[in-house]
Amino acid sequence: MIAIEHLTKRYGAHAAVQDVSFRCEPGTVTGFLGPNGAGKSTTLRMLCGLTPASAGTATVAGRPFRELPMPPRVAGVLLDASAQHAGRTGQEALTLGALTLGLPPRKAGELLETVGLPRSAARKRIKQYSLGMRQRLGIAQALLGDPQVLVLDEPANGLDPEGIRWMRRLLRDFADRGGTVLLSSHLLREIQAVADHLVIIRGGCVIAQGTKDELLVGEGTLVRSPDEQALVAALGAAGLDAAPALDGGVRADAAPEVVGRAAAAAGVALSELRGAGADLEQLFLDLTAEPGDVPEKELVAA
Amino acid sequence: MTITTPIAVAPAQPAGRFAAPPLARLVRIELRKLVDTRSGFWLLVGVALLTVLVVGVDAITAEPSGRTLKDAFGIALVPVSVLLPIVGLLGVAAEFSQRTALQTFTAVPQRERVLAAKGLAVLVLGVAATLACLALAMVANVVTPLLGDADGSWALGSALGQALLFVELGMAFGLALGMLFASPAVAIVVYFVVPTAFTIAADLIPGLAGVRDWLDTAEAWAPLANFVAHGQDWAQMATASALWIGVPLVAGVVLLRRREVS
Repeated sequence: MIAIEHLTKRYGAHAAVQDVSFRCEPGTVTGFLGPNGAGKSTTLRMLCGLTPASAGTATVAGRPFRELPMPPRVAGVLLDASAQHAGRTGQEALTLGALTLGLPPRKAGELLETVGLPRSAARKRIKQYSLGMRQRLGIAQALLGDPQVLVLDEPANGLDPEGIRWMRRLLRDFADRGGTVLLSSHLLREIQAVADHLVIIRGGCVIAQGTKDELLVGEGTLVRSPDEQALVAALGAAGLDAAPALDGGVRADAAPEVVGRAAAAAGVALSELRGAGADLEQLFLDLTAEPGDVPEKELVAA
Repeated sequence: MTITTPIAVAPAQPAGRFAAPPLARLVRIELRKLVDTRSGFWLLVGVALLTVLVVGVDAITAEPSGRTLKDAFGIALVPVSVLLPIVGLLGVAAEFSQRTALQTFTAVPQRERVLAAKGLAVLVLGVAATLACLALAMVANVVTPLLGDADGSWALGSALGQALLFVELGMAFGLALGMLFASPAVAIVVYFVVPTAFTIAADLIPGLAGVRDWLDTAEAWAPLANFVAHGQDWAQMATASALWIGVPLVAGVVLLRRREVS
């Protein structure tokens, strides 16, 4: 449904996006991952015809976006929830979208309900909206034309945990009904929870892509101890690959039982021991880390 | 806040099934966008109030011989011709400052159609405002004889046609600057400062005096504002308009068609 082939964007000598190719099929959610400045948004803007590509092609439903007669009927797009006129009401912004598609204005009201924006909020100027409300409004705009494709750039930004769960369910449901979803995010947990395909980009180049199961192979264990230094040393002595996890504790690339035995052999007390599977965060850091890079600082584990 | 209405995904349809929105629909939408924001709405209210004010003051202070429909109409057009073009200017420039262009151009990626709709919407607004000024002038011409001596002539001659052209030239100038600069602040400054600067330069530099009649809008459009355009005035109007409207409009459209929207 979405086909991106050899897409490249150069600004002078600098290549913001370089030879990016991937496809998104109906019934799937594709997570587009990368550190800030990796070229995610530029790629999505090229896909939607907002930024002219230096080379390569991008099509939605077999056509370049700018050649779709009425794009919102095919692809719902939310590239930046903040890109709204501050002096317009949410209701009015949505009504304008409905009118453009030749839909009755009441369609705007229906969608407000779908995305959980109360009527009282819809009558307020967008200037007063929180980022979470703007995301909901943006999702409503993307869904207006009953599209088969959704293209969303960082849709979970600004949403509270409740909102994130709602968004997750909405996207999963959309894909399960045969829709195609492409969403970018640097919220790794978010992508891991909802995506079944992953495209990872760094420095404008795709560095890994495939199904989540392909990319996240292997076993992992999260283990905690009051004395983590001793724990890491014990696991290392047992020949296990172990390193402190981002959000505390230690991650080891081995089954929980193996890790538990190694700790017991060294006499290290544990406060927690659980299987963690292969972790997207770890994969992402492994793939995107470079000497001198500090991508961790840009990552938010939500 | 959590409502989990199921989302219906339409069955796959050929992308070409839906036709592009007709131009008339886009014009209606662009007209609506001129007035549905806080700034657009209050700018129009401000112009309307100012127009009523100047017509009212003129009705009281004008000489009896100046109390005619044509004179009242001419006065009513002053705020409109100066301030209303800002509405059209903002109609384009605010798409970029408020970043709504992101949605506008993803919903209708044929950018030239959006720009054409904006142009037509602004011209429709110009016609509506001119007719409103005429209606206000008529009211004034009915009321002023009740206040004292008044000529009260209803003769209009070619005033309506000249007024329409005068207002629309201003609207087109604002629109062209909005397209060229795609920034409200820059476009508004250029709108107010550059033509005046040109007038001053033409006054100070002897060599420019000759071309002034042909290139300075203050000179070339003045006969229209006074409803007296005739003969060579039309040619001078055309050259000044080509410079101040034609050039920025063409450059603006070319830039906006290619411009990166983010």
